[in-house]
Amino acid sequence: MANFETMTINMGPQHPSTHGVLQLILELDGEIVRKATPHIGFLHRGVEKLAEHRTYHQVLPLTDRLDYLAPMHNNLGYVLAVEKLLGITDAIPERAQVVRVLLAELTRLKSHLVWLACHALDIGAMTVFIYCFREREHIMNFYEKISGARMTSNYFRVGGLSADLPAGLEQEIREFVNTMPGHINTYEGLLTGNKIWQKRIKDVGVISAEDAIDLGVTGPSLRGSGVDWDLRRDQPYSGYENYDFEVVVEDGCDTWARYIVRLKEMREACKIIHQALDKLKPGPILADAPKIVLPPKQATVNTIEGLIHHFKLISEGFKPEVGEVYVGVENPKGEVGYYLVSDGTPRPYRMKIRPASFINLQALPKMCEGSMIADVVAVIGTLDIVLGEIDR
Amino acid sequence: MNDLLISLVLILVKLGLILGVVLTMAAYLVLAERKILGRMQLRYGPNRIGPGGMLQPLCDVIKLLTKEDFVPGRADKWIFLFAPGLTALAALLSFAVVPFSPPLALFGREIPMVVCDLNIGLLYIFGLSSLAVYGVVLGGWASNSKYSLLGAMRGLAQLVSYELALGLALVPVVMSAKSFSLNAIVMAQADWPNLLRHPLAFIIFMISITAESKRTPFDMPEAENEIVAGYHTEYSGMRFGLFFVGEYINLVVIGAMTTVFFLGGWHGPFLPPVVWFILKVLFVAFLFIWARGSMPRPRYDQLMHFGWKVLIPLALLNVVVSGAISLAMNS
Amino acid sequence: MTTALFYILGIILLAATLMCITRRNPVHAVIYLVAGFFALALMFYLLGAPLVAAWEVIVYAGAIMVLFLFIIMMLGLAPQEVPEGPGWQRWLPLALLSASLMACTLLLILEDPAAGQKVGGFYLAPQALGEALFGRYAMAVEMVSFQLLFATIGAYLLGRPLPKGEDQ
Repeated sequence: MANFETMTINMGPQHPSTHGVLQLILELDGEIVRKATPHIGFLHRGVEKLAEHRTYHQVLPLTDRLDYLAPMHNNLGYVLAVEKLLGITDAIPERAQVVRVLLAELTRLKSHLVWLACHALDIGAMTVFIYCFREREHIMNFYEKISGARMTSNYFRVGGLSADLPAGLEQEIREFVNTMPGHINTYEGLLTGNKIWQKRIKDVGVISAEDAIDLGVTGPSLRGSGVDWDLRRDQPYSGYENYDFEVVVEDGCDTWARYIVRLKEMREACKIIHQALDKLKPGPILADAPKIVLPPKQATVNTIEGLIHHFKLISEGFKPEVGEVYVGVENPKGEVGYYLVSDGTPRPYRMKIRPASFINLQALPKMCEGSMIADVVAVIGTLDIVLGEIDR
Repeated sequence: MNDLLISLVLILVKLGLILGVVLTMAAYLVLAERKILGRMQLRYGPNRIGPGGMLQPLCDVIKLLTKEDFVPGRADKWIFLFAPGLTALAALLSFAVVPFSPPLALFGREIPMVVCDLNIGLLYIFGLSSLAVYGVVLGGWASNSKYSLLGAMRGLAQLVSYELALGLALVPVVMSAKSFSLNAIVMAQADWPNLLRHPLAFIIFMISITAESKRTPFDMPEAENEIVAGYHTEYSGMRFGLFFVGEYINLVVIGAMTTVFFLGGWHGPFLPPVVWFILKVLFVAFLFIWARGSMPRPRYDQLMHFGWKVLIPLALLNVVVSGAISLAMNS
Repeated sequence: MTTALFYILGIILLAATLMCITRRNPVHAVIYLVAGFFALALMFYLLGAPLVAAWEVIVYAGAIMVLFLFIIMMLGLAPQEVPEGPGWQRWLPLALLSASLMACTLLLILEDPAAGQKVGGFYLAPQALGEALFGRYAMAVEMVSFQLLFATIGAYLLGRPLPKGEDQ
């Protein structure tokens, strides 16, 4: 077959299932992919550079726009990094910690719902797509009630939260999460037992544990290859050590294993949300660190000292000591890390983001070679990439 | 002479009626599919234009007609232009041999309720369905686009392979009717439909006809998630519309074929035969829409393997077994 | 009316075949050939053999020519310009051979004692054809089928994927 020339095809950046503006250069032999080369950068906004010209506080909204399907997680990683830089990690009040975990897991649910929706749609199961978006809609409503925005939440703050949860929301979340296992059963009913679905994703996009580690793959994609690694358990943050949950690991190394991992993770996320709701007690939501945390609104509008304090923090910001930190958190898509360098000024000297999708995407050429075009689509789906995070 | 004239007028009237009914049905099947799928997927479907969205098909046609009729550069212009017509034409012509009611006595004449009761009606439908392959293949090839070419190749392989399984599935039906004529096939099902007599043939037929008509879940030639829109990627305006309408006329044809071959044609209690016929056709169409709402799409090579390694041997076996049984029953 | 139809179809058939052998683009040639097959099928129908007409369309137009198209598209021959063929001198022997064959055929037709006699109306029912094929000529049909089976197996053997590590 070598004497037939291969056909080169540009898949994307405008293609129905490249999840945004990813471009893949595929070299095809008939329908078989000989080589797949991802081209990225169509969504580059220079977030890391922009961060160098903003105070630590002002960087926060930029992080929402990285993985726009899991904004709370990005906020969390950044906030944790700044807190570590300031040395106030232990001063975060209990309520803020619990709310952070609660929202992080809710976001995990939201992100995995979008993953399942798009993955199923790419393989042709249109109905699952809309079912998943129905549940996601609930989570978006919670987002709106909590932060005022449906996608770019910008809710966490250095030292705690920007506002307390609205009254009655806890009950709503609990009711929603109670229905979630039933919904997951519905998705599984449409997909898991379906022979076509099984044939489409079993033994597709195989990557061994060694290769996955070598390529730096993290998150569910790594755990689908049988590597037991989850930052929530292995490097706990925000009090994850106090929750009882299982780290799902499958050793199939294929798309099916990753599918199972993510589905089980959704169920685990529901468990964690329940535990967080049980732990939620009234209390302060901001650390007692006046040099860093904004004063209460009442103090700002009623007292001159409060106003000056507020003005100073907003216009100048806080100045961490000279130093550098790295904090990684377990995003729905893998490890997202923030590396911050402070030179003692109110603005970060350098911010480097370790994006999960970008590094997971490295595995794509390896997973695609020798498979068919239809498998490329399945592999893009199973890697669960989001271009906002890849291009930054 | 007079007799000939009357026959001619009758044929023209029947042609006009069938054309009108089939085209309207196809247009409203589009709407029905969108609405039913919408309901299955927690949406409403089109409901803005006219009562309950009933005028939507009209608006779609106006939109398609007024769009630019674009021919891509370096495309093979003439083939590009006539390929969509071929698809729609092949689907429409199939209706000529479909009997939708027993002969009608009118003004002392017996009028058969079929445009042309060919004694090779079944083979005629096959011939036309092989013509429909050309619409897909030439359309995809002439577009001078890689995605279109991939779609065309998929379509070609899929349609040719599944035509075989389709034909083999119908052999038992022909055996029990002892004729290729669709009228005779319906007549032979007066007692009970072929569905009960040849259940395996029915299953094979339904799977292969889905592949043959490129309906989801076997819509590989136009799998939008993989190869954008397959063979009609480059088409716009009414030429795309012809492909689209052809697909839905095809859905009506499939419904009619399934009804005639397996569901007993117009036979049924209480209601008039034509009503039974249309009800059965719509029921089959609903089955296809239902499948679209609930099935993912297999991979192209898996589909081919399934066709050649499972369906065709199974169909052959079915032919042998049914033949043996009918021989044994005759002797 | 039948005669008129016959001549119309004949002209179409001839024109299509002529176009088919003069086209440089293989896809165009295939299309003309398919058009020719359709004309031929209708002619068979006119002659009273509807089953043969149907097979003509299903087998030749529907399967064989489609596979031709498949190969043409697979090899990517179609979009490129096919280079100029050899000059007329190269064709001369072949043309002479064809012309002499044609002349022989015409002479045979003229010499045939049955020429000019009218052939009565004829209708070949599908059942009759089937009985002839599987009754009188059963042996021949079976033999041809086995030949085809061998050919299929041979093609499969030639085209099977090589075991890993083995070279052409």
